Amino acid sequence: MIPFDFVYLRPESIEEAVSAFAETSRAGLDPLYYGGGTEIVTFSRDRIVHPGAVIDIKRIPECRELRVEGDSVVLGAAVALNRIIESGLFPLLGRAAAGIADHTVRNRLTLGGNVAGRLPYREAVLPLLLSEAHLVLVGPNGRRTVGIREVFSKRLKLEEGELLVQAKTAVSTTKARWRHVRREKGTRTDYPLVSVGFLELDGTLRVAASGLLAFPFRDDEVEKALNETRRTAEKRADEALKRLPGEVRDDQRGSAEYRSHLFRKIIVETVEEMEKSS
Amino acid sequence: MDKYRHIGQSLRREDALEKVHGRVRFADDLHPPGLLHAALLTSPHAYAEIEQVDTSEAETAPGVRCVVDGEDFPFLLGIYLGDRLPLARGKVLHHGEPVAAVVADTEAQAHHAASLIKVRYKPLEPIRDPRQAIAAGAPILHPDMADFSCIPEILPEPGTNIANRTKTRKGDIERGFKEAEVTVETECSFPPGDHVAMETRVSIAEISPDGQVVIRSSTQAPFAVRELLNKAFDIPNGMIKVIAPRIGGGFGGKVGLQLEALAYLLSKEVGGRPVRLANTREQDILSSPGHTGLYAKVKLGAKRDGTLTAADLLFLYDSGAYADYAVHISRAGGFSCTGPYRIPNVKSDSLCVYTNHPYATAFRGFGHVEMTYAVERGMEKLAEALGMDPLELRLKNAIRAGDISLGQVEFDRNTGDLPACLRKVAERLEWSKGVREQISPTKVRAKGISAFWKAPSIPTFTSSGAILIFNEDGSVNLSTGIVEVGQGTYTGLKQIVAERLKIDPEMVHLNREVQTDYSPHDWETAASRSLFMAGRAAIEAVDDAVAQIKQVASAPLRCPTEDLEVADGRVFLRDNPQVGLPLNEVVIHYMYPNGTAIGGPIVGRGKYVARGLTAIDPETGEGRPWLDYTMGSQGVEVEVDLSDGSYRVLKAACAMDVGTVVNPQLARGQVVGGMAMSIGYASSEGFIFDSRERVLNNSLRDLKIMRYGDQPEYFVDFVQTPQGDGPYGARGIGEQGILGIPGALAAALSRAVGRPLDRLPLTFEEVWRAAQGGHE
Amino acid sequence: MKEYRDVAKLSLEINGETREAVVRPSDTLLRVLRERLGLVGTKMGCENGDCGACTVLVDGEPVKSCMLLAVEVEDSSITTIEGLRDTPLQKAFADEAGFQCGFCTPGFVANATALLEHNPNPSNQELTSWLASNLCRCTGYEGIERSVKAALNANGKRRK
Repeated sequence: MIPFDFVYLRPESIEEAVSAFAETSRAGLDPLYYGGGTEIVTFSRDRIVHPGAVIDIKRIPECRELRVEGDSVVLGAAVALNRIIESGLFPLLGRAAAGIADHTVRNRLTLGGNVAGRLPYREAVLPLLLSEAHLVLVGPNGRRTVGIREVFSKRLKLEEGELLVQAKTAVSTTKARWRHVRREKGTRTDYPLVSVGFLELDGTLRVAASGLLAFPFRDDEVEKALNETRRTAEKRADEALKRLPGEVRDDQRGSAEYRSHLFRKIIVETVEEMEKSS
Repeated sequence: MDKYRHIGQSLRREDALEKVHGRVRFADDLHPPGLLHAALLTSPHAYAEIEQVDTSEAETAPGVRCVVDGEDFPFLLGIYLGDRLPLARGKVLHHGEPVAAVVADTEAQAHHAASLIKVRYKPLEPIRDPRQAIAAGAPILHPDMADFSCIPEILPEPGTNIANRTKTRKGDIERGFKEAEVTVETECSFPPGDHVAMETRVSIAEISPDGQVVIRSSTQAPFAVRELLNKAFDIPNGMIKVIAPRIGGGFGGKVGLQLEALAYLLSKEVGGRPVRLANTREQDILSSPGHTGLYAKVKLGAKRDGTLTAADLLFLYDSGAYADYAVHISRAGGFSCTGPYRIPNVKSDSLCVYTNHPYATAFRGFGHVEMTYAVERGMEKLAEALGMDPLELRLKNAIRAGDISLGQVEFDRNTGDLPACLRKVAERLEWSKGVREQISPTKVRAKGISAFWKAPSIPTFTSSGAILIFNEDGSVNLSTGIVEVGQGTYTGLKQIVAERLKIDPEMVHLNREVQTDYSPHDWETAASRSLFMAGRAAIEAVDDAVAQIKQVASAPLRCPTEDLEVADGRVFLRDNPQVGLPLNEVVIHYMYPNGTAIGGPIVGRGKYVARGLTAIDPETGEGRPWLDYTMGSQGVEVEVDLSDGSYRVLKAACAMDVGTVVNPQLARGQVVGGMAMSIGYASSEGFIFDSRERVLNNSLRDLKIMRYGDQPEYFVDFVQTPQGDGPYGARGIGEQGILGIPGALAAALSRAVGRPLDRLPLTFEEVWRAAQGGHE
Repeated sequence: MKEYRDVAKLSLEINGETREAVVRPSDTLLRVLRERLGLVGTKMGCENGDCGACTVLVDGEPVKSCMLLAVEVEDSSITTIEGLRDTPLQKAFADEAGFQCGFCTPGFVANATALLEHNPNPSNQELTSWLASNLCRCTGYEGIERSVKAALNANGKRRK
């Protein structure tokens, strides 16, 4: 039960959404864009978030797109993860998303909600980082389409009032060779200890991971280590671990040591498998 | 069961259609008119002094009817040891302890106001485990222990953190170890945790102008609630009505006096208006009691051939901040401390110890999960030291009829056949084909086996009553004080009445709720004794009703009552069945053709009190506190990936001697449910504390119980040595499914890894770490 | 643009009936069902999306009603346990003892009902994926598995 009140607005277009955000912001209501609501509702219960207004974007047509447009796959921010998984349009994303929360929650949990939400795992962003997707953002200063790596560093860095509308990725990239491995503390319905995605493009292996550090990452130095073809898989994994852009997480789900071990193991298995079948 | 018509049938549950349609009214599904809502403010610290509580802002918040803190309710509560205030006063002793409460018109208003209460704390250094609690120099969490009210069976030690000590001294321990040719010592431990029933606790209290207190609550123990309200607040028992509807799981966590006390006090604060106090899930886990943790040291001695000669056991039960039922849990673990093994020389000390952990109440197994785990780890180490098959070691020492208990009482012919249970589990797991197999460079399959026993741990005077009344259509209503917690006792009782009265089970109705003002008294729905005792009482009630029916019918039928039989809805001459009357012409009244009526409504009365129980000697443990021991064996087969410690439980098997199985489908359900809970207990549950002893995993997001897909292939077998004094030979069954899996799992994983794993929960990471240590 | 700035009257389509309720914009569907509409068959187990006891169907899809706002679903068709009567799945749960305390049962029945509508012949993997959304503490899931599979077989389909 949410113990406080907020205003609920449901715009039918992006313009309406952006101006509703501006209006409620000016009125001092601390608005939030609202997709599946799974985070906002549960976090409001304990006042971890405390919006005075929520702006439901699920009716905005552009936010609901899920299709191929020319040579791009278009993924609306308000599309529920289960729909993305079922569409088969981006198998790596489907696989990464399939580990998030549980099946019922994924009927509401959206791509945008996972990428732009508060929880630090954001596993749906990994395939977007790997495929170097473009994000369509609209805010009070207008619309922009940017490469994800320009606006995502640890989390999505949006301007005040900016809405994530869509992610777009090249169809060809969605068909590249991929792998995703997720490991949990025990039962599978849980946050990940590590969630690691790989994409092989132009003979280079890309890697992105959640759960290992305090934020999801894709790092050039780590990838360089991964692609040192003259070294063994083990040596590459060791080097990758040395170059992580942050401290390995240590918490109630697992120690840093165990997470590192799992990550290393996944790298070794993947490198060996990818090389075997080239 | 060919000799019975209804006993031994898998009759569909009497609540089946209601439950699959969501029509059962649980405690929170019925709200009285004018209901007000309470919200709690709880402690963010594990151990701290309360310096100041400022409720001023909360008092003026919208809809608020009262705001209270510990100063307002100076009443000590506790079923066996009165050590707990409804709201903390002066200091808090565990993370999540309630500190203040608000009553408001709506739940949202109450929660909002509670968030406005400001408390200033001075954090203190908490006690983190029971060993620390009993070491010299530990802070004394309850300096007033000497002033606590206490039942005579409990022996608290003022000036310490020991709330109870149960001693067993059987034989001569020094001689026992001298006779031993092999000795092993082991230590093991696991943290406290939570029951995680699906229904969170709720109590709704109101007080009428004449002073009658009415409480509707998700409780397993409505009569205990009434008794404890009387003791704590001096309300006459006859002026308290506790309503216990069907509940959404209890597992021991809903016994004793819990939210009812505070709900009552809050209702009193607002002039007797109905007040609802409902836990959030986080409060249900943290603020309401969970289950004990344990630290144990076990030393076993045996001859070369495996015959046990001695056992020296130390159990430190982590009761958390308050003792509640834990003083009896440690006692129960104490008087059963050897597990189901024949050991002539035993020394055990079982202590209930205070720490700054969330406090514990009864939990499925009542101390026996903990005790069994410790003993089974010892037995595994002993088997290894002896170079003996763990199955053979257990078979060799298994308790049999004729053996002498720890309390110097002979096990009579109602004793279960433990060897048969062990052999059955071994057969299910294909034990003879090997217990460890490398199936790939990194994957190993391994098996583990254990044995367990449990008797109800109950007061010597525990009893049940039963009332049987008749309806115009010849059907009957059975009323008992048993709460339907999900275990299916109502269906079992239906079958027992149908059998005894020789009618169709569909003609037997059960009360839907227990109400202490007209349901017959019953101790508590716990301890695996409900079907046993209420069943015996129900049988007596049927016999009583039948005698009355015969008495009335003998007049119009003009015959001696001895010549009459009651069956299939008729009372008739045994030797000439055509001559008789339909029951519905007798059970309300009998009317002669001329209009004169005799008889009147038949009320069958039954009662049963536990037979022959005694107190136990405080120095030696001598006595008979147990009604019936249900014994059995459990085992698992696991598949482990040694490269990362991940594993799957492939098979979980249980064989128990339960005497007669009244309803096979429901009995299986009980055992399977117990095993599932046990797997969770052993592999993923248990509180995780931070550096300041606060619980990190107090939500279902972080406290992981088994999910669909995690379950193994279950095997359940029942051995049926009759319990002569049980209803139709049945023995208790509700708890035992949980007892042996932790020991079996630890054994299997230790076998897989090649190193002993003694600390629960056995997470993948724990297994991986052990595997890192290499094979022996 | 639809706006709910204060307590408002909301029209919901539930179990084939149009029901009106007075709601706060921040009221979850679960609370509105239970507290405004008397539909207490849907249970509250955690209000955090973890246990699934609050599962209902929205446009035929299972959702956790504790995690969404009533105002979000005013144009949807909602089915609660009260709207499921004597279905083959419920009969299977009753006959196969797919429950004990019954608290998780409405949520499981709702979820499994949607699953069987969506795919009358689900693989074990799909079954597990859907049903892992709901927690049960009593049955160890054996009775639930037995019940759902019995309902599948009763539909005359053989499972893969």
